Amino acid sequence: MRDPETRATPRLRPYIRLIALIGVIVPKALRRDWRQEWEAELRYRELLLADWDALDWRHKLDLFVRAFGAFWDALRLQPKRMEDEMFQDVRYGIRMALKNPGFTAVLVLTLGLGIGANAALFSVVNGVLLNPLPYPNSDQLVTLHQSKPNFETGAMPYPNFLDLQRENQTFSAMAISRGYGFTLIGAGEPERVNARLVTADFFSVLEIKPEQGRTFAPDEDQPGAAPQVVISHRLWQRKFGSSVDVLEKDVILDDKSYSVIGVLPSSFGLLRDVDVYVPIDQWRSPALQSRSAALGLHGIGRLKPGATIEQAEQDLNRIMAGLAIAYPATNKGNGAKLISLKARMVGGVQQILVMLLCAVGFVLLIACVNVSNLLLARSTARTREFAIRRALGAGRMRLVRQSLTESILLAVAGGALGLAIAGWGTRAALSLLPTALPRAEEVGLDARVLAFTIGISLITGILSGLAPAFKTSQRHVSEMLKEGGRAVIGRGVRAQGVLVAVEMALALVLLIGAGLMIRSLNALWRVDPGFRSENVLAFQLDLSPSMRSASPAAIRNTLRQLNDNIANTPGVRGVSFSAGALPLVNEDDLFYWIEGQPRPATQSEMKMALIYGVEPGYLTAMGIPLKRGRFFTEQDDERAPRVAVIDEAFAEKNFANDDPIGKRIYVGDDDPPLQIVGVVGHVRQWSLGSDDALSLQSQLYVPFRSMSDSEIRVSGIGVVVRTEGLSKGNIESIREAVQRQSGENVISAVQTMNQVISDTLARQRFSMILLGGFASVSLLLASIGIYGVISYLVGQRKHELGIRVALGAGRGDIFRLVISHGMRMAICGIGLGVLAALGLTRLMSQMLFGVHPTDPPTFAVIALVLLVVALAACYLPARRAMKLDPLEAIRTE
Amino acid sequence: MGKKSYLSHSESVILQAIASSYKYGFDIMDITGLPSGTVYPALRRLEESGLVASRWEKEGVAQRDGRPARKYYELTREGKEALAEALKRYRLLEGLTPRVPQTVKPTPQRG
Repeated sequence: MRDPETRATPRLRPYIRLIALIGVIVPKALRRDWRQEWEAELRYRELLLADWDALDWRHKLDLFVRAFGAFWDALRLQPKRMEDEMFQDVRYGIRMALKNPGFTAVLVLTLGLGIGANAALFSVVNGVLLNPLPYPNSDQLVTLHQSKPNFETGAMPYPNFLDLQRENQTFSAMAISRGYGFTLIGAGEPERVNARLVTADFFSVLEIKPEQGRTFAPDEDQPGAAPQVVISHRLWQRKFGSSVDVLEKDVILDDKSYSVIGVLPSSFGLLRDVDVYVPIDQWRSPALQSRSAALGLHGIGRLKPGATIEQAEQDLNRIMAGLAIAYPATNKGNGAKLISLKARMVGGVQQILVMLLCAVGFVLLIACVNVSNLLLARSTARTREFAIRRALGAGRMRLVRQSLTESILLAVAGGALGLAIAGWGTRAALSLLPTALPRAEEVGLDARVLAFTIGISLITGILSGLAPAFKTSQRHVSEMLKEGGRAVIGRGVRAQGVLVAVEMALALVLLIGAGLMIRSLNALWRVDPGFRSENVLAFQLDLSPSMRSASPAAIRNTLRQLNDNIANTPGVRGVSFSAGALPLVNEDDLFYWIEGQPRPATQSEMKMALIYGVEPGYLTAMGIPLKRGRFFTEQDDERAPRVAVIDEAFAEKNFANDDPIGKRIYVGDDDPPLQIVGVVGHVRQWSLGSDDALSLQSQLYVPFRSMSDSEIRVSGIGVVVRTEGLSKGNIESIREAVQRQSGENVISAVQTMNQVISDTLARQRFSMILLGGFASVSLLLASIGIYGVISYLVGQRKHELGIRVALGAGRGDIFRLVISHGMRMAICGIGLGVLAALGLTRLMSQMLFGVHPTDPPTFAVIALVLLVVALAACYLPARRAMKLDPLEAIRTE
Repeated sequence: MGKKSYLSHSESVILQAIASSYKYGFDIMDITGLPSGTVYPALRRLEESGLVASRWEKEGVAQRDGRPARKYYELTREGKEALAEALKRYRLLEGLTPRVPQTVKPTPQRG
């Protein structure tokens, strides 16, 4: 519309300023007409009434209200903005993408991989680290331990717990529990089930609502209460076929009948492998009432609203101090330790996950660089197109926006693909290594993962589009048109070279990280655990329930008979029952003092040793060497003089300059001392990697058969067997041998010691596999990147190369020229990467074992690998350049 | 957009107002009592669906008054049909807007 002549004053009218302001959001193409229409109406109305200064306030207000309506009008016009330029850009971008489907597919796939890997890992981080635990007000939940001078998170004796529960002022509820095992009889085959002995408010602390029935009432953990059990969802499905009348049923656990009062929801994942929950007072162990026996009891508590962990710990330590005065023999030196439940569950993996998230971020960066490079190459090919658009009046920003729109479109498509990859990849990774992660069942795609994916897709789109976008906008139209389709070897290629070097550097950092993890894992595998793990089976044995009422002599007889049965099974080399600790599987310890030294006044001043109750066949079965003296014989039973065997660490600690054989040690207040008859090799009890870091290293062996009548047991007996070779048949013939004695004997938790060792390394393997995967992807992307750039370069330099050949350059010269160009980029990248890796690998030093973060061989080998890959990637384009026909190459220009 | 069947009541009222020679946005607001935030978006919709067409008044008139030229709206042929259709549905519509007394409002000049 024509510009109307307007007096100066109306411009200052407030309503006109309002219209001008609202006009900002009106699409540009419509803005002028839109403003004039509104201004004209308002001005006309004003003139009709009177001049502004003469208007009364009501009319002024009316004009204002009308002017405000323009806002809705402007909003109504917003879709036009879309049709306007952005839509054009998007439509154009889609057309361009479809015109070149192969190119587009490569880009989308690259971005999809990068974004997918990030989304997958973020969904793990989100589920494990970021999301709160799936319990109401879960930040109030803490785990409760008794701290000893050398061990912060020790178990808590039941009477101490009861005192804390009664006297604390900072908890709204508190419960304690311990693991246990039952033989479950009643529904189908007898079966060994993992159980948890709990105080009545265990479930109410967590505020868990059962799926069926109820959980325990407050008084149901008292002595004399009727035996009741709460079962897991899994057991309900497996044993009761998810039947609704489960609540009217009874199950027999060991020798007692329990009525089922509740079924937990399937989402309850705190104790994944526990199937039955029983009130703790059903467990008639006299040790439960002792302040010196911790029995593996650990507490869980809910803080009062507003109370902090520090306050609560102070509160409990005040009570513990009182207990130390009241019961110095058992409690002196002990305190209380609280850890938030979430930290306790995920503490070990936080560092690994953060490292992996960084690694996967690198992969995405590499993908960005790659896409950026490809787009850069194409933008050079599109120079003429952009030049014509510039010449026809498109602004520089318009072209930048066009480029960015195209790369964002690609990234959004990549993001959609990535989300699919993530959904599949997360499930695959977790099912591959289910034990590696806590809270694995809570990992999934949720709104936050979705937001993250959309966010990184957009950022990826912008990042990978920036370089090509600004390259197109920088140059002058005339220059661009002059060059036409042919680019000058200059700025563009240099930018690509830099990007390739960066890409190589990123890949190198990832590869070195993965290399270091592989070397750590290798070093861990090579650690000597102190026993020979190959061909060793470990399992649990529960005697027929009828043995519970048998006499100790009968039980001893049965055990002997079973031992003989297994030992005589073909293929069995050695067998031993075990009680107490088992390397890498179970832990058990006791206090001791040496005869001749003063008896320490309190427990906390006594020394501790790991305790293994084993049979004569143990050394053969486990492959532990005897160093001095003798091991146990058939004669070391309940009637023989009490003997013990120690390991080298025990000997070193107590008898450094002395012969331990013949020395005597006390392990209990009233028991006669044990005489040391032999020394065996030290075994790694805790783990392959961090064993030396733990203070409890001394190991004490006592004869399994010397157990007193009160200690003798009929369930949960450990068995280790060495065989000539492990096979299904082997395990079956051992099971047969056990059941020949009684069909009701149950074998459970069968595992090979090799499996046990590999399970302890599950986390390291999990991170190594993922890091290795990321590194491989990055290597692939980087080699595609360098191949792409060199190929492109050869294409662009055809003319020049042709002239060189025409002027007499040999084919070898051309080959070397191209290769050296590629190698320059690669070497720059490798140098950059080595510097970055020197800084970054230090951050993962805690995850490494037996290898230094700047391990020179790893660095050297990886750098070499990358160099070779770069060379291979340059080889094909270099050969193509070599075969160039000079005449043709010159003519094409 | 369906030209006959999907007219809302306010759109019908606005068509009727234009038909009765209330051709400017603010005049339509005055006669219909609808706020500007309703009238203008409705006018844009009606224009998009081809029921009304807009024109600028002659420059000279505006210049004489020292103000920008105003935009006015007219019914198209489809607009007239749609209004006839709407009048069957909203019987009171016709009486709602008296024809413009020619003395008060200047007849817009086509330009």
